Amino acid sequence: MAKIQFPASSSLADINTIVSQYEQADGPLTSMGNDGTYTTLTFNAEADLPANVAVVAAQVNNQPVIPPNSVVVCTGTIFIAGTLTPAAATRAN
Amino acid sequence: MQTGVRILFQTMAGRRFASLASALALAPLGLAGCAAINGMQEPLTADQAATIRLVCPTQEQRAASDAMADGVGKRTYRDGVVADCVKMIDGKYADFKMRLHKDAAISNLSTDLLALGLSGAAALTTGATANQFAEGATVVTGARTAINKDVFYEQTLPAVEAAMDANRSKILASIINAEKSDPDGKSYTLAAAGIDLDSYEQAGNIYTAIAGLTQTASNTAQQAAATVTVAQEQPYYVAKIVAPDIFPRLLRVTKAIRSIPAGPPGQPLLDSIAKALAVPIQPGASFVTERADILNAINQRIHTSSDPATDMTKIEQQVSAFITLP
Repeated sequence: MAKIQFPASSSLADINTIVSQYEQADGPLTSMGNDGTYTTLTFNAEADLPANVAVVAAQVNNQPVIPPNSVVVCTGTIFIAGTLTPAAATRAN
Repeated sequence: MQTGVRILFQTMAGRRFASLASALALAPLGLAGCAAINGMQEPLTADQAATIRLVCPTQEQRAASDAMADGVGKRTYRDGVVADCVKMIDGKYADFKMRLHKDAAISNLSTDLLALGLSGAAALTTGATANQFAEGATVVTGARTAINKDVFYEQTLPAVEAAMDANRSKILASIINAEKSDPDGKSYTLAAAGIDLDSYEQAGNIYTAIAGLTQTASNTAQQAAATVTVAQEQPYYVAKIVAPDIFPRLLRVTKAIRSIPAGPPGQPLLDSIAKALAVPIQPGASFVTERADILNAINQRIHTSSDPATDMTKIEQQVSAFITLP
């Protein structure tokens, strides 16, 4: 299990970049959250690589925004541009 | 003599205990509050010795076979006797399974004890019986935990049956293969077949099946616990985005490592790469776990490096010493 911290000031685009890199080179995203200082993300290198990388987005009214033909991978409160934000990661089928 | 072992559940002094004893010792099922599950099929010799045969094949059949000249006739005779024995054993096994379900249906198990595992109960018995019981007892821990008997019989019993079936199939396959490999009846004699037939008969044994299932479950649980512990102990690290010119190189290495075939051909390669990269491997780690440890280590090294280009080059050199990078 890769357990990483990502700077709180990171933009949503940067968060998606790091998620994309780990999902391609390590394994699928399994959880996200925060430790009060950083966004925390975990990836499972024992699992097969996903066909499509996960995409992180802020929730709306505390509900994940799920694009068509996608499923929720995980949800958690993460830092987006310095603000703790409920977010969800989805993956296209 | 009935050599089977019965597991009896009794209410004793207001608390429930499972006691294990030979069938003869605790045979009377009229004991209030008792129910019994016979753990193995009736041996062929139990009720057929007088009327049919002492063993299968009989001494007479063995002698007749030994007197024959090697060839098709001897093989046909051997295969015919073995087939008869298999058929008889199968019949007994079918009876045993039916009885097992019947026992399960009528057992007085409206208790909080699970049928086949009470670690503490082993102390109530002695000798070989206790050992047999202790083997089975590891299936269940926490004897006083309320357990739904329906769950046990609906889920555990089929698993035990499946294990018995698998054991029997494996032995039957070896018997058939032995017959095929000796078309003249020269080396796979009826005496040798008799030993295999005994094993085939014994495979219809609930204790052997439970021991196998318990070992599998134990190994899986230990491995899972070790993985969880390692994951919990792993610290988080601050990761940086890898530059666009480096990331394809990282992908090239990790994809090459993921393409290493699992099992004997790939394991030495994986071990060598782990050693070259100085990746510590957990004792007893599976191929997939070891590979994940390597992938995690490479990602961590590059995502935290102050000079990722140089570090990437080093990793490429270390890995390409053992596998070809695409």
